[in-house]
Amino acid sequence: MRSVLVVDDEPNVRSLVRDVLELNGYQVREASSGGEALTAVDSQPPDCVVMDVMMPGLSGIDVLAELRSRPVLDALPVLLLSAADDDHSTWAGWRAGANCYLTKPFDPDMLTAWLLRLSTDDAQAD
Amino acid sequence: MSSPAGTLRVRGTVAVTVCAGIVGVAAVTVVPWSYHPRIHATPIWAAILLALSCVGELAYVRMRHGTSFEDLTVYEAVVVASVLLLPPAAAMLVPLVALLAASAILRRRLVKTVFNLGSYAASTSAMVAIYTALAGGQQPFSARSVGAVVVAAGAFAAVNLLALATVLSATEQSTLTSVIRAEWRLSAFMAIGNVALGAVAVALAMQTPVLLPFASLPALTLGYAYRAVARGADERARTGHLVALGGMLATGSPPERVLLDVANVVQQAFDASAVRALVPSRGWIVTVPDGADRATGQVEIVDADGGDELGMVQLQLVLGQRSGVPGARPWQGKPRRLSDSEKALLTSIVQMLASAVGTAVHAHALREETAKLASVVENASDGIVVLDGRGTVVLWSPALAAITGRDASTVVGTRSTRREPLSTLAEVLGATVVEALPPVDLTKALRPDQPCAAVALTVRRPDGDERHLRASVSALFGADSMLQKMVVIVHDVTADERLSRLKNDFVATVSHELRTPITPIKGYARLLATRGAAMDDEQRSRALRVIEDRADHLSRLVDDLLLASKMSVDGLGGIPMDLAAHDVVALVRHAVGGVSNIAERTVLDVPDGELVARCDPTRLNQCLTNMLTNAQKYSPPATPISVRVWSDDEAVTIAVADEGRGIPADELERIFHRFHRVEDPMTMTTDGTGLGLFITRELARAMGADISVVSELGVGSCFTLRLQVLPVAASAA
Repeated sequence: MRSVLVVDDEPNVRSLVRDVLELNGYQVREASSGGEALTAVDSQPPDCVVMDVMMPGLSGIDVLAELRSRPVLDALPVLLLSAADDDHSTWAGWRAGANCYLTKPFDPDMLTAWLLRLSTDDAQAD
Repeated sequence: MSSPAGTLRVRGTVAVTVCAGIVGVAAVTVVPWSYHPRIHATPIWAAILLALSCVGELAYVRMRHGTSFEDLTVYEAVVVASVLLLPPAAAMLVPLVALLAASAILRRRLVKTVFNLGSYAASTSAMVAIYTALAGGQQPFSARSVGAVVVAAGAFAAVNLLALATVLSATEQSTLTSVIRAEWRLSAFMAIGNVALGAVAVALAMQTPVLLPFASLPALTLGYAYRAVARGADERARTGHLVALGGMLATGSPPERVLLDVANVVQQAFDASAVRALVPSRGWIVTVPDGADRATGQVEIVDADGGDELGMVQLQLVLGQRSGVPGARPWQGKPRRLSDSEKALLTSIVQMLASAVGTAVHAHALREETAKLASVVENASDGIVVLDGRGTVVLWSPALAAITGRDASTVVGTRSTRREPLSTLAEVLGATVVEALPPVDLTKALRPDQPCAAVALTVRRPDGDERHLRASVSALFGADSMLQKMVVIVHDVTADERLSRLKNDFVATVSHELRTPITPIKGYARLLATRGAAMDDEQRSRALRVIEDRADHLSRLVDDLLLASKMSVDGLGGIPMDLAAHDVVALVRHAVGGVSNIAERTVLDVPDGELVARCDPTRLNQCLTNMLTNAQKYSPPATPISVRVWSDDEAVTIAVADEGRGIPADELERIFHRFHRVEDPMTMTTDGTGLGLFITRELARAMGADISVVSELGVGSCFTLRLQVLPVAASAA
């Protein structure tokens, strides 16, 4: 059983991602902002993070940059889930160190497929 | 005699002259002169001399003095003969009587006749007195008597010249000395000629009367000389008029004015009583003097083809009526005909006139065109700058002054130090080029075969303001392919750019707003479809609830967008309003109840009874919902939202106050603008399209109400909606 931290300011999206992941056997924790996400990661690092980009306060990119600057967390798989599908935003996500960049609205199967892939990569890296 | 002062001077001169004449006549008749008894002093001789004097005065040659005329005659020769032949009193009276008779025949004006009589009385009496005193008892043609007659004739000429100069200086507005300087040679010449003629005639009559007809030879010579002098004066005057004419044709006056001026000059130059200038193709007829009766003289028509689209220009001269009282027939009733040389001159004048009128018409059209262009430049909303080949600003339109903040007076005439037109332009505009699209070198891009270019410029003004300009550059090249002028039309698209950015922001916002609810809808729908069987009841019902709620949200969003677009397209006319009297208190309660999660935060302060105002309940509910959800969105979850309703004589007022973050002062008006959001759409913390307050205010205005806001940063905001109270009669109904 792998744990996933879901970060999104929109409660409906959080509950959707939670339902999708729980149905696929993941353990889900939620954070409604970038700040909360960092606190949650610090208190107990998840196996994977699914994070929105456009959030009040710290954005998903900010949080990702912060995570990547920490030696322990620089390999933590992070999947960005963003409403912005333009090239500029996508590249910003990849450059910040995202392991995957999915756009909303997203296909639940695609999300779980990517998470499976990321966990496999993670396991291989280990 | 143009001015009243001139008329007075002339009258004074005439009076003095007449007095001098009376004194002279009295002196000559009263003084008991001792003189040599005249051999031919008989009444017959007196009668002959009277007749000759009269003829001498009638056969005049008219000579011009500016606008006045002097008559040159052989009258003086007859006076000399009278002095030689008659006793003093008779020698003086005979010529005066002859002069009176001649003036009557010529119908001279009274003032001229009186002046002439006075002047000749004075000069003749001087001549008689001097001759009689000097010659004494001597025979005519002794050395002494010849000397006496020469001196006496000199005195006659001198007195005459003085009188003439005095009256001419009055009429011509010149000084006495200048007239004397101009006239003394002619007077001396006349005196000598007349003495010779008179003396020769008398000598012949006394010695060999049969040779008397030969005395007409010096008379003819004198007459011929007079004509030459008169013609010379005419030529001088005409030359003066032609010089004036040249000046007039070069003034660039309107064509009608040119015609009038030329007609005036032609009238004076050709001594015409009237001149008409016609341009038949234009229907222009100018008559000088205005309203002259053409029937009194002969009209000579000189035609000349103007040689352009103006067609024919005509000058019609009325000639022949040369003196006398207007209306009276002059004695030389025959109309004067133009000489061949005058016709040639007139033809040249007509040709000049035609070309001058043509030029004047073109100049006039050009001036009108220029004025039109100037007004186009003045009123053009686009800025226009014209640079010459060396980069000197020659034109700077008012619109450009508005765009650049630099006035034409400070820019026109300044010269750029740059060679590259774009840099020149930027320097002229007083700005630095931030970006140019396409990034071309206009020095190379502008060529004689390709003289136009369009550039989108972003420039920064000295005050730091960045402007987006679209410049159309047109270059004018000379024959040597050198740049002669550059015309740049500058269109300030800064406002368009701002609007476009606002729209882009709006599109980004709207797409975000639309996509946000779609994510859970689509995600849950897909989840239900693929994994529905694996979900428990609670998960399924949550999924359906989220789908429904988000779909409602989407639907409201789409409604807002449609409403806003209707407002932008049709103004308020696009929104149907159902205005009637309604209880505002009940509507406020209903609105609060309709917003989820707000009831527990709301502090309602409303009166117990009804407060009736004019509104559309559906639209008012929309306004109130917007105000309430804004208060909810922009304030922390636990803080109270106060809703107050009260009324005064004019309005029912609804106030919604929150304890949120507040609105910066410079945003207070703009929050009601379409698409405007206080936050950057990419980093905003709250959702919304930037349409809520715009829609609210437009709806409020459509109901005759208005919405206003007061706010303090960190303390909160209070939105106030004032609805009009219905008149009593209407509310009762």
